[in-house]
Amino acid sequence: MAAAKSTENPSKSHCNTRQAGTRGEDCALRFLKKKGYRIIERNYRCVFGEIDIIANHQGAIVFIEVKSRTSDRFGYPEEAVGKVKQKKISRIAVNYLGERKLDDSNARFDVVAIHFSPGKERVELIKDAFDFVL
Amino acid sequence: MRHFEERARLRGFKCIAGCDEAGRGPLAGPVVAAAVIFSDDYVNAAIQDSKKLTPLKRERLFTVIEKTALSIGIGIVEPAVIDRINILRASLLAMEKAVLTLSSPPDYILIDGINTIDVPVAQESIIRGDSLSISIAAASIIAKVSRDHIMDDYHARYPLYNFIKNKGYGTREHREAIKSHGRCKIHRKSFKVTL
Repeated sequence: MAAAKSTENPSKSHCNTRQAGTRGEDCALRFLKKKGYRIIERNYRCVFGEIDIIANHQGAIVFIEVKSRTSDRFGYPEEAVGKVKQKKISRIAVNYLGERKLDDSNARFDVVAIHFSPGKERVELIKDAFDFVL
Repeated sequence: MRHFEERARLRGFKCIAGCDEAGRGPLAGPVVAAAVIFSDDYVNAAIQDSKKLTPLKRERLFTVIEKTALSIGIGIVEPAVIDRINILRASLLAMEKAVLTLSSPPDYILIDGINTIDVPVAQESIIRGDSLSISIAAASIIAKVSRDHIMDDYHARYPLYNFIKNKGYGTREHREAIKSHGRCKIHRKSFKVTL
């Protein structure tokens, strides 16, 4: 009774999403460091969920969601952070700021969108992508 | 006091949490929420709406509930966040955190008031729930006493306002202290001082 393993033979266009995610985050980290972001946390977890990257940029605490895409089938990466996800990230941010006693600091939400196409990657930074949604 | 719990159980829910919050009204300090899960057969006639209990009775019941409840979750939202969002959303956020912090996740939540919260669990809000449901009443006691303790700690840091006595609420003495000393770090910006 062999359970069908969907990961066994992925077609090329369906490249493992988890793999693309990690690769995307590494790529985003390099990009952000180059742009002058000081990385504080990677994969910060709390009861409200997980956020990819937390960084310090020009005196503000920045919560960064990384969006990786291997195809445009599900839309462009910068469209990928919907209202529900915005609320989720906002709650994680509020929790983090409270936990670290950083309530008074400036905070914003950035999205790093990475588009993978054969042989190259396109990185895009959307500063202040959305507001606190709570 | 067990009517709502029983009804949820009859509908097939097995793990029922009560949830309430304290500290919507004060001028200073956090809003604190609690969620409490009791076993099916739990009875304690002393547990009732925290507002109807004396501080001493609340403290005693706090200890009893801590020992006897199956699980307790607490959510705290700081003044700076209350200012950034608003007190209603902040209190809902505190309740969401309290529920998500429970060590065993509930499959049904009884919430005091008129609002429901954004967690993926079936729920029902009950007006005056803190005097109708034992789980909500227990949550109201845990939330109130936890918040009082936090305010007692703040009193040591900001002794000018007598938080140990007023717990951040707008008593005459507290408002006069704000008038002569100004606000401190834990005062909410979202209120105007009137004497």
